[in-house]
Amino acid sequence: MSTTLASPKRLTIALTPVAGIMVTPFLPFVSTPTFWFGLPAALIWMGAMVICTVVALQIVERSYQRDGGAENDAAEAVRDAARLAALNESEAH
Amino acid sequence: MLTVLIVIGIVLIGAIGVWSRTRQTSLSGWSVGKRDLPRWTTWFLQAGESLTTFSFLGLAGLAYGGGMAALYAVGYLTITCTLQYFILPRQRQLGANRGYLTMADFFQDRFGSRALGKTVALCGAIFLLPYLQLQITGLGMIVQLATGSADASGFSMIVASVLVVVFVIWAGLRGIARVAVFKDFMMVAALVIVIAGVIASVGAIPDVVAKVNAISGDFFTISRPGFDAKFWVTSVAVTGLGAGFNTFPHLWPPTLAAKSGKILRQNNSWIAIYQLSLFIPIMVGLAGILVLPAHTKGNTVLLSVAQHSLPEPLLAVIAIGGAAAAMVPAGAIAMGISMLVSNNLFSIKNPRLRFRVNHLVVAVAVALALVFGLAKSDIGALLLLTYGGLTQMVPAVAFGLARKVKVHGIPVTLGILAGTLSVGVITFANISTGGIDSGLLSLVPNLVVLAVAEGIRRVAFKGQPPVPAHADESATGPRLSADHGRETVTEGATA
Repeated sequence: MSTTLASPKRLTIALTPVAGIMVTPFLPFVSTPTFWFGLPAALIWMGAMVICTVVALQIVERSYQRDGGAENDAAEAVRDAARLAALNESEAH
Repeated sequence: MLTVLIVIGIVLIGAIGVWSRTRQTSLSGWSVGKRDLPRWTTWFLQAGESLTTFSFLGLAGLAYGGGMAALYAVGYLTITCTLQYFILPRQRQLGANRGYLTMADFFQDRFGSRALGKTVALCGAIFLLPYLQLQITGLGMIVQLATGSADASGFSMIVASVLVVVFVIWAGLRGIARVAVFKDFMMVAALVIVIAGVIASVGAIPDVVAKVNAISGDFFTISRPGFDAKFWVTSVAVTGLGAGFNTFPHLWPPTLAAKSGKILRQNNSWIAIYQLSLFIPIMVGLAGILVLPAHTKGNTVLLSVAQHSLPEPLLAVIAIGGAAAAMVPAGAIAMGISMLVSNNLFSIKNPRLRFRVNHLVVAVAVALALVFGLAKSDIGALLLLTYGGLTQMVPAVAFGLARKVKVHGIPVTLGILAGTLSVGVITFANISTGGIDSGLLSLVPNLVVLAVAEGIRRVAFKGQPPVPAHADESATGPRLSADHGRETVTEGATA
């Protein structure tokens, strides 16, 4: 995959639960009163979409880290450390 | 007794906010610190928007009237996490490299347009004021419902407002962060106590569901009048887009202050879990259908159910949790308004004067919201503009995030004004939109005006770049960070 965070593949993975949330009212088990384990099916579905969102973003994050994101983060940390050091030095004066 | 406990709780919240020996003495230190907030501080600031007075007062009421349609809040907040996972690190990176303190700084810098910066600052400050009033009024309502006393409500609003002003002025973002940690623990405790009370007094959750289903199965679909599929799709889309693109000015300081983009990414990759806690007020709203009189006001449902099922000391815990849920956003909103006014709208050059004016604006904004709240003035209608109006900044944020900005600031400004005007006309002229959210609908004139104006510019000024050279990301010339850097050098030390 790409070192760009918002690559098409990563966006597709992350936006899948978003699509699941958007279509909720049109699902057959939401358009009619349906119950799973004594709870409203809509509630269980939304709970599943929340979990899917977390899982999808974990997959995206690991893929980004593996494909060069870790190096990008390290470079950002170096830049920020230099900026912070300059700020502390200017405060000391 | 209950009133005393609640007031002690509110004072404790204020004390946590000012619990610091060092007073922030520069605008940048006050608002974004050294841009090195660690992961968990950033987490609690980011999570602040999930558990607010809306979770206490609004969500249970929505479930009481609209059943499962209340899940739309879970939906848009979850979508917000996904969008922010990609967007916040970029906003933070630009902010650190180019010295942003506010959302308006981002617009001014990326499009090289002061007019756009001032437009965003003005719209942002106006739209946030009713949101601030909502928090203070919500706090008063929580205390009134818990104690049954209108006097206690007014007194609590005044005490809480004074404390918010004090801890925000004293400690800035770090003060808000400390209270946010306390608030999240209190909110979770309060929600657990409420649902335990429901289970003890009304019955187990499956029993509540079965009894409500016996009254009407509609509560378990998304089809009740006013809460149908059109409501769901448009409300989730417009609110998710607005929040996901971070168009709320008061949410920028936590983003800009984070230590790294990685922290923002990793927080957003987990923070959706918080939304599961919103199932509790939704279930309490359903229980309200069984135990409360018909036509109970939506905002009173959760606390009325709590009163029905809990003893006084536990009611105090819930009221204090609700007060914290109001005071944290109130502090952040007051900070957001003051930064926009002092940093962008007035553009005061003298750093010390700017910092003092900023504090004055914090006090004036909270005082105005308190006066409107105590007088029960109906500026609530303006709140309808808040979400729809701020969502009009989504296209501009999207263009501004690109490595190279390809649209001029004037068309973007005209687009925002057209969209905001459209939201205002639809709202105040009561124009029927057939259930489609006015904010989403207004994105159409926004984008049309933007496209037409940009097209005219490209024809009339052929070959000219859309943004000035200093607005280019790789430019080494004057930029916002240079100004803020000087300010930090001259008065950045903490007392």
